[in-house]
Amino acid sequence: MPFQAGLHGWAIARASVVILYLGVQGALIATAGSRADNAFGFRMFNESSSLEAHLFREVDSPSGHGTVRVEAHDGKWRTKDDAGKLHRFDWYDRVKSGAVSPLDQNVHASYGAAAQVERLHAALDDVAAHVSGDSETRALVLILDVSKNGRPPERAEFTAKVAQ
Amino acid sequence: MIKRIEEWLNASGRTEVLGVMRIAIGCLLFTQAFDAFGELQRVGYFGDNFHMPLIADRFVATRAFYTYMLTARLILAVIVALGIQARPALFLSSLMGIYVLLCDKLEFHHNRYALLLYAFILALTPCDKSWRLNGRRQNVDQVGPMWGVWLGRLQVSIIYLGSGGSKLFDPDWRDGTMVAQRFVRYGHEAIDKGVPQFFMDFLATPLMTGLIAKGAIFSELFIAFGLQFKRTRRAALWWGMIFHLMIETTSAVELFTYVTLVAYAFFVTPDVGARKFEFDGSRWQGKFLGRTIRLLDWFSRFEVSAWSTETATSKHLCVLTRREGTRVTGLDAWAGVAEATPLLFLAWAPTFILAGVLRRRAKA
Repeated sequence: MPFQAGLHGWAIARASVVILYLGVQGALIATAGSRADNAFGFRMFNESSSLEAHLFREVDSPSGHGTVRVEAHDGKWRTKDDAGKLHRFDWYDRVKSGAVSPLDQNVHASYGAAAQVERLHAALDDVAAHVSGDSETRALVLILDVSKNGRPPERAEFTAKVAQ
Repeated sequence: MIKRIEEWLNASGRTEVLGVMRIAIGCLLFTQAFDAFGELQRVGYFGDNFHMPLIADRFVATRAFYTYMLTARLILAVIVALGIQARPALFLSSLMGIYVLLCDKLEFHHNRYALLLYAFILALTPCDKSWRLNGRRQNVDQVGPMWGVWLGRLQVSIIYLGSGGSKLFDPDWRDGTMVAQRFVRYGHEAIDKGVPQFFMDFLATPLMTGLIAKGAIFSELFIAFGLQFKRTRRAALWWGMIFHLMIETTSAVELFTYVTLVAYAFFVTPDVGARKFEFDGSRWQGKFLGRTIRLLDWFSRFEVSAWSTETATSKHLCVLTRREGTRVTGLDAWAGVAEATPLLFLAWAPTFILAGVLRRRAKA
């Protein structure tokens, strides 16, 4: 006997909701691994990883050839524009969420190393896109030392061109 | 098979437990929305800062819409708790909450998502028929379809299965590496709170971290499956409570402990007044017990009454008539009371075991 032939009235509607709900839940859990933060997959306490992130600026080399890197301690830096006016910049003016690891500190990687790497990379792109009035900085560079579950740290580096 | 599925989908039951759940979920939704409001005041509208939408930018809530939505979520949470149009309010609350998570996945936390799912499921149950502002305990129409309750039960197990299953397939979890690292990072906090250094050193040994890791994985999987079977349900609920209280004291998990403990009520059999708690009304201790049980009996599982002094023949202060009709006193009675009372449930397992040991000794 076909499935629906045996069910009547409300039972069909209820069965449809149950199947749809469980199907969506099953799909979200099965695919959680494909998302850096395993969102919607209920993978609690998935890692005990740590990371340390440092922000650098790429500015024109004094020699006139290429660029050099200057560290922006705690995400802060200052530049002067062509008119000599001082501008202050701060990573945390844009990145205010506690879900993103802070800079220059060795911290627990909340929701796992991959999640924090993804978030910090996206934050870097966002900050670089919102820097205005900085005629010195060519690009922002984020260097991450990521230690997954106590293993020796691995370095990752991301660069984002600053919108001039 | 089809007949059984149809019976399952059309089964009805008393709704008192769902009413209590609705009030608790309403309070938790209010807390969640209130915290988000605090964040809005403190940090500002998330869209003005770095955020990570899971949906296209043009669908992300504007500042004004987000503020209105938060206000609406606060109001909806209140009317959920009061029981006024509670089911549509639960449905809207959960949809709005999930929409916010889609607007900025930095807002995603397991406990927030779990609460929204439970709110959605509760909207599918007749949770608005009891414990509402009008007619709080009227018995007139307090029966409704229970299929949503079964869905809620499955959802609770799904969470444990997702969590325990992912740990089971993770070699770092299985061999204790993950637990050892938590000791390395947070062990000093326990020592600062007074836990002896030698004890922490002992726990941090590879043998112990391996055992703790396997225990955690087993616990989650036991709770996931144990909750679904009548024979193991009580033990799974009891161990689940212990498990979550341990997590609450050792980790910052926002509302997760409360959300899960409320969701455990999906597993409460809706057997209103199926137990009788009789007490000696001629003694103040008896009266006190009677009042206490009435106060703690949120799920209406007891008929509480004093026995009259004329008919009282028991030297006991109280007598419990269990669901299956057996009358018990002493520790057995207390185990029976703890088993059916949410605030006393943690005392159930030790009381039950102690009562069994004493009974066996008395027989010997």
